[in-house]
Amino acid sequence: MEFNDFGLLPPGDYKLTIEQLKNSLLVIGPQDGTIWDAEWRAFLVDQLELMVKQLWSVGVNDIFIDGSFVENKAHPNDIDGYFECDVKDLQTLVRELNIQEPDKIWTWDSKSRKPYKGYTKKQLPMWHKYRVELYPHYGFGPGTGILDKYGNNLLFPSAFRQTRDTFQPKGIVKIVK
Amino acid sequence: MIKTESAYREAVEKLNQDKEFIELEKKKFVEMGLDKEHIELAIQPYVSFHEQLKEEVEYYERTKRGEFDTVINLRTLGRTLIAYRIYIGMSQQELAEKLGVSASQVSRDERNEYYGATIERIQQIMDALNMVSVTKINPSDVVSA
Repeated sequence: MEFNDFGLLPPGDYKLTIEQLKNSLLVIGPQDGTIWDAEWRAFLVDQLELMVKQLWSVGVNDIFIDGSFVENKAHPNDIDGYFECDVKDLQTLVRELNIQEPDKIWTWDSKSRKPYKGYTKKQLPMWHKYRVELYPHYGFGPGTGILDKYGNNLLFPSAFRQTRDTFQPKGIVKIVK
Repeated sequence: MIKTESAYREAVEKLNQDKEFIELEKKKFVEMGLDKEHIELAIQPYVSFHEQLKEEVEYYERTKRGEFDTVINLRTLGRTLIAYRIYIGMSQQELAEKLGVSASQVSRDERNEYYGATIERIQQIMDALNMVSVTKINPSDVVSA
């Protein structure tokens, strides 16, 4: 695993267990003197692990992470990602997740987003508790027919496989058991 | 963080596409037979994601107008340095030349939002940008940072 000249992982899905992630470039950092907040990144992965375990317990296994955490950025503010599920199961899934989550942070309701200490964007409750945002994605459907400039269908995950500001394609990590 | 006009235009275009996407998804969920409450729940992630991008676009627009958020305890100072460079219309290349470093160094520093930079380094950058920052110290019971 190595960052390209743009500080991104080359496009692709990198399968890692949580333990592998903890020992990966993304936590330990490039060993070339690059400034890197390994302690903070390790903390974020510990937080991610708590949420991933909740997802696993309700049968969600396809979990991906992206955002600046999978980029060559010393101190990413958070971990972003998504998981795959059947939209028909969503209501049940959210309820099951919140049964085991004491602070009931499993929601994506925009009205529940709150600002945080001078940050430009308001954040979901899960971000405030864990510094992690995981969105549901409802499987690979036929798509919308809308394409981005790289020809990717603008299904939800495509938004995660590119940088959010310049829309450059990039690799992401799939968390495996 | 949106840093260029081209990225800004693309983000605005994406916002418009998002709206179309959300409407199409809604229709798909109706065809699947989901009830209204279920559909609202199912599109919430799209709406939140869309709103976040909208806030990024608005932040860029405020930056271009010279409207800066208060920096509390240096936490967002790195981001504000970038915002100020954007506001005065100086490119990363021009800043690099003023600082006597490579453009890729400035690009790297901005990607890291100046994480790990020394106070002296930050002062050099402020000088290169002709930026003035006024720090007002409040008792700790006034501002919680």
